Amino acid sequence: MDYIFHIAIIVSIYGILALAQNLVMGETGLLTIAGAAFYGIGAYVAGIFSTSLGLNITIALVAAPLITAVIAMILGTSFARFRDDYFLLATLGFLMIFNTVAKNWTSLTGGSLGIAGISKPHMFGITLLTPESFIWLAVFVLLIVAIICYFISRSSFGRALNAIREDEEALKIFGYKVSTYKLASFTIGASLSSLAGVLFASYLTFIDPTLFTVNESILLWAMIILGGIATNRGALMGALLLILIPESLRFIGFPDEISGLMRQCIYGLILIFLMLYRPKGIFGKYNL
Amino acid sequence: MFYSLLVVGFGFILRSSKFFNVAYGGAFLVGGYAMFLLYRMYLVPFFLAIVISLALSGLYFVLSNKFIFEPLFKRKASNFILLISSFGLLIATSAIIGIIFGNQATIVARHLSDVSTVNILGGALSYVQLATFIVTPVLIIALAIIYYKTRFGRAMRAIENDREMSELVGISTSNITMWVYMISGILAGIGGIGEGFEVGINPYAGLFYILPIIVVAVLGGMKSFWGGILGAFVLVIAQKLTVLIFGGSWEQAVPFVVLIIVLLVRPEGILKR
Amino acid sequence: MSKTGKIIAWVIVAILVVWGLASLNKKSTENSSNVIKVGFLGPMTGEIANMGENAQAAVSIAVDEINKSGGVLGKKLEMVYEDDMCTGAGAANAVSKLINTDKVVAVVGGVCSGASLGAAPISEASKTTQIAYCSTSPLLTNSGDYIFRDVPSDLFQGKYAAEYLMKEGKTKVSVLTAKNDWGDGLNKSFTDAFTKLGGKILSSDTFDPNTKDLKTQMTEIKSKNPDAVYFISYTDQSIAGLKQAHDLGIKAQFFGADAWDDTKVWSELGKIGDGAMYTVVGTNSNDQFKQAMKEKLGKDDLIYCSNYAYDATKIVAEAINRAGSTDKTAIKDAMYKTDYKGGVSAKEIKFDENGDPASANYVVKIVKDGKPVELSK
Repeated sequence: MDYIFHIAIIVSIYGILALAQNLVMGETGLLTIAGAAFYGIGAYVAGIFSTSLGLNITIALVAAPLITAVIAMILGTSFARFRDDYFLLATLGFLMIFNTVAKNWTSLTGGSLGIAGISKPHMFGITLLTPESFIWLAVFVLLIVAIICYFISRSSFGRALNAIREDEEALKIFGYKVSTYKLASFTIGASLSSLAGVLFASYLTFIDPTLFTVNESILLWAMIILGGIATNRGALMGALLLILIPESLRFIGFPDEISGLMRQCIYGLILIFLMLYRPKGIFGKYNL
Repeated sequence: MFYSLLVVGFGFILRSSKFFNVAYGGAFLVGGYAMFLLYRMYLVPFFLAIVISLALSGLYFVLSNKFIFEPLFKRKASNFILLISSFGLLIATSAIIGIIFGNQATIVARHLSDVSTVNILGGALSYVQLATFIVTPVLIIALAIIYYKTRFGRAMRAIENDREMSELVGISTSNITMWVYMISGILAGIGGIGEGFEVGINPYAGLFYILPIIVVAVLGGMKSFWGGILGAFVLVIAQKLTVLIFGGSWEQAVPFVVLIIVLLVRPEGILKR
Repeated sequence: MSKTGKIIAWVIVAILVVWGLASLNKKSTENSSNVIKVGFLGPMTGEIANMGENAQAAVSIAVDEINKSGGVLGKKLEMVYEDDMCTGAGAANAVSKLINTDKVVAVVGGVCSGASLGAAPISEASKTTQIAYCSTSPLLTNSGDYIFRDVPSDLFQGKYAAEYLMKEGKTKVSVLTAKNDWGDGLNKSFTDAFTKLGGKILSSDTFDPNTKDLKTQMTEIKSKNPDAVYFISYTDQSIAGLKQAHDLGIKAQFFGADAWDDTKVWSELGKIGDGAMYTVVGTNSNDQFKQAMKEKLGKDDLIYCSNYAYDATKIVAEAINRAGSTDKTAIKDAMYKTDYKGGVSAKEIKFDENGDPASANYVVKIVKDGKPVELSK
């Protein structure tokens, strides 16, 4: 049973990430690949708070979104002039730089050795040690994030974001401050991602820079694309499927030597065929 | 050095199909591994092996265009879809190559100590490096001539400028595109073979090389033939300087720092068209 | 939302759920029968997948031998192999699956320290003995009561290398390390020990484990003209780096770490590699085991980690036998009483109170004619 709880926790964490990614990329149409960087910043905030500063991890749940928001704000402001592919490249640059800094700033991040022994969350007098207890926290945070995302997409703010995705110029003519909207969406998305980072760090109790690479961001992309871009439901479904599929492939039993590679191969092929035959994704309403 | 060749090939694809086709890294792998299979495993003579490997890497790219990118193009799919599908192709290619050849680095030369060195002007160069130094400029000049002087090159440039317009004036776009893919695939294959000889390639090399190549292409200005080559030199020099000043572990971040600076300061790249 | 979308989604979910339940059921019925399951973690994908595959072969040899000589507790030992992708997250997923659905009684694994550290909290929480076979990060020492390893922490190896180089009169050294947990750990322990002994570090540089172009670093080293270069790298960069150093004409003594105990490095380099030295835990690797590996893999490739993987498997099997049951706490207690002799990685393995090897007998090997040979003390 613990395995199912474990997978459920991982799904919740990625669900948060996918929702955040969907807000930025799906609803607003900002091509960002920096998702893993904000996820990583959240995890590192948790790690540093818990080990170097000796603080309770629940404080990190509040602090990480704030810290990330500040970083995202600065980043979003300086990247504001980029469009589409250029924005993508700039965020890719940020992700790579984040990763290198995490590897090299040894005194703060532990360098490539990473940070071990991050404490488990302790709240209301109980420490959430096992997957069965941790799942409640993970699902709780996921719910909050889902509610936030749901309200954003229903609000006038969300409709403005959608309009930016469809036709930025037109919106400008109507007198909307497009760059402010984009910045807000980027910052909110980043803060939400950092929550997932805190959960992940305290669940695994160990983090190192290899966990927050470009592959992680691409996985997030694949999730929201598979589920259908610009739907919150789709983002959650994508996270669920892309965690479950590789895990269930563990049970197929390919010849042992190639099972891992086979998984990657199937994963690649899924992406191709999806693009060829159903680019809308499962729940798609918006065609890329 | 052979970065510039790879960038030229990538630039062709980028300009004619207007998206970041990361499957280019797949062609790189196919070239290198075909060479390994033929030259090292089956002991095929050197030049024959090169020709076959390059043909294969070109073919790989042409087929990928035929079956994946062209149908998507016909549907007027967005760049984003094309990017994702080419990425899927790269992942699948890496994995398949890993299944066939194993995951460890594979060295194409039959024995490393056979790859001897020559001393030129006080610096030691291996034959591969020497060959790169000779072949790269020759190829680049040849490509420049094709690109700027021939009918085919004109057609290529026409497609780059305006695909629909060129179709209207009677250029067979799908035919030309096929050849563009062939040429890029071959260039990627040369890169793969060179890498295989020099230090060995592994199934992950495709992804590892494609990122700096994209950066270089942007850096040099996406629209320019010579810009990419210039970008390659700027990047390599910046990387080496970083290694000297800050240490090797920062090397990976350099392309991206340079990228962000260039994007902020001069988004059209170093060379404008 | 489109109707097709809904249908596709629920069909996929339904398949996965049915499949998941079916496989869960199958596993639990098998479990009660006459096999004892042990899990294996290793990188099957990613840059150092060759280590995982190599270790997997070694483990399967060990399993065959154990089963040939009667198995464990009279039952057959079955190894379940999982990919940890060399990351903490991958290992967490893999180990959770092994412990909870395969119901393994112990886990052999983690090559990468990151993976072992990611798996450790889960093993610890479920009271499953985990024995890492190639993770040398100092962080692993305190990662839990149920966490063991049969390879010594980097702290010892770096110190040993420093002492050896000093003894040989190589007082000016350049350090060049792979930038990852392993390289960082070794670099730190070596540098600390070496400077304490009065040696001088002329330059200290690192490189990304993905890169193979080390010419700039090597040129820098050449200009410093050190007595020796402490070059901490895995198989691929070792081949590339040593070749580039040779091309540049660096005459300094190259000194490496245990990762160089891979026959592939030296067979690829041929005579270029001659004279290079490295430290490795005094292995006991016998020709019989090498031959078995050769048969298993179809080629001559034995990576040092595989020695530990083989021994770790045997140690676990022994511990289960001594525990007399598959009770997890009993296995752990038996592990602490391990006194394993005649292994291929070391002559004798015992654990200290942290689950680390109690002793580490390093030796220095030198490469001659493309083959590493042990230097007599």
